[in-house]
Amino acid sequence: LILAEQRVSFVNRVSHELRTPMTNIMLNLDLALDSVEANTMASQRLNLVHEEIGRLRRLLENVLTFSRRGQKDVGLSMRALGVAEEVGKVLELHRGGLRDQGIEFQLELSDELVVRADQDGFAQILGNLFSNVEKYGGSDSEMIVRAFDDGEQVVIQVEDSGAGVSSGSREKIFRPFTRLSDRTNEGVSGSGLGLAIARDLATEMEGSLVCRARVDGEPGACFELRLPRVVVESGKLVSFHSQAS
Amino acid sequence: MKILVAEDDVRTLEAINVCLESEGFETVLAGDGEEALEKFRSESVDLLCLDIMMPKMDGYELCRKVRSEDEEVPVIFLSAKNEEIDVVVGLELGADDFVRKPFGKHELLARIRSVLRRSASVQKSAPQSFQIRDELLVFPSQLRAERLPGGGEVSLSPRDIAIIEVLMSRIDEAVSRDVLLDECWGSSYFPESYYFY
Repeated sequence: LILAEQRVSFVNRVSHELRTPMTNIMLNLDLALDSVEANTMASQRLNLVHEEIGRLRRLLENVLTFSRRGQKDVGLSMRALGVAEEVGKVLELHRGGLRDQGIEFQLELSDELVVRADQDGFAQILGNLFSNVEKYGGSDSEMIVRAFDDGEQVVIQVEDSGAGVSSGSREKIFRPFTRLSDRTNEGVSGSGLGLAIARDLATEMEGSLVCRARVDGEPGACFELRLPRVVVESGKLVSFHSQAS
Repeated sequence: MKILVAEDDVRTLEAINVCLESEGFETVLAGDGEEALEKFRSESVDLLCLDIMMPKMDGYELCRKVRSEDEEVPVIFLSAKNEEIDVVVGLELGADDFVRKPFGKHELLARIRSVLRRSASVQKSAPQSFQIRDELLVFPSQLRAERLPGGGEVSLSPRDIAIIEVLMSRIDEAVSRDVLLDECWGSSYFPESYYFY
């Protein structure tokens, strides 16, 4: 436990120390971009550097979020949220990215499903799952987002028709900094923390997140998020499931 | 328009300086809190950008001292301290904004412009403005213009304002590149042609 705490404070200090050189890189890069003509080789290369710096910056924020999670006390505020509405909002942010990859999506959601969750946490998990489909779903494939009530919880499944995850790796991918070795040469960006954070969040919201085979047995990955359901009758919230049972 | 920047990392200070000068701001630079306080007292500045962790006097202490002498001058913290609590402390001390490191040129300039606009808009006297034909109403002190008649905001840098003013003062004349360079960049400025694309 002491080791874990030392590691957290080490990570905090390192990421803090990284901020100054990163600021200098970003400022000087912007100035360099200002002084080269657009559409030249130099500006294209500098723009690539710009994108990579953006990635490094996201990684830095993810590392911090993750190390803070280790310190517990993340302050989730649980409330009743409409699944279709929240999925719609997050999907809107990914619409462009999915289109660029040629990925069609199909929604199988009912309007009435309501979960008890933290709004930002729920959005972060969904965002992570959708961006994984963007990265690993393969081009010209299909994503299915399905949600239903299994009588105990609300089950949300995000399926793609990409290469899938072998059954031996389905737990491994939730470990921090794990990238499946056969995928690392695809030019895919990521910090290796997305799924670890998403599972942490799901667990803290009294739910779960797993990777499984597709429901119809076709090739591809299926991520299944389960969250506490809120029972709704005739448009009125009746009770949280956890209180009713 | 003059901006004081206090930052102990020499390279950050230099890069911020170039960013601000490229937009036509004047700058006053300080490498620690004490130097910044001295320069704040001797120069009249329109805005301060303060790092938090600096030798001799940290940014929080500096902000407290500045606020005790001047309640209005806009203050922006630039800091690697990124926890929510650091931001809250900074704003409670009377800062107008908090820019988290790392940041790029465009974020920095946008924050500075927005803080300057807000602080100018709370000035009691009505802001000065002038009109360009029936198309644009320019508010030089607020670094912005409004499109006429439809409304719609345009953000301007001090250099944009200087160019507009030169062109307005010689209306009906063709103004040469050299004149613009002299009047808006100063004769010591080494012209890089990309500014005129």
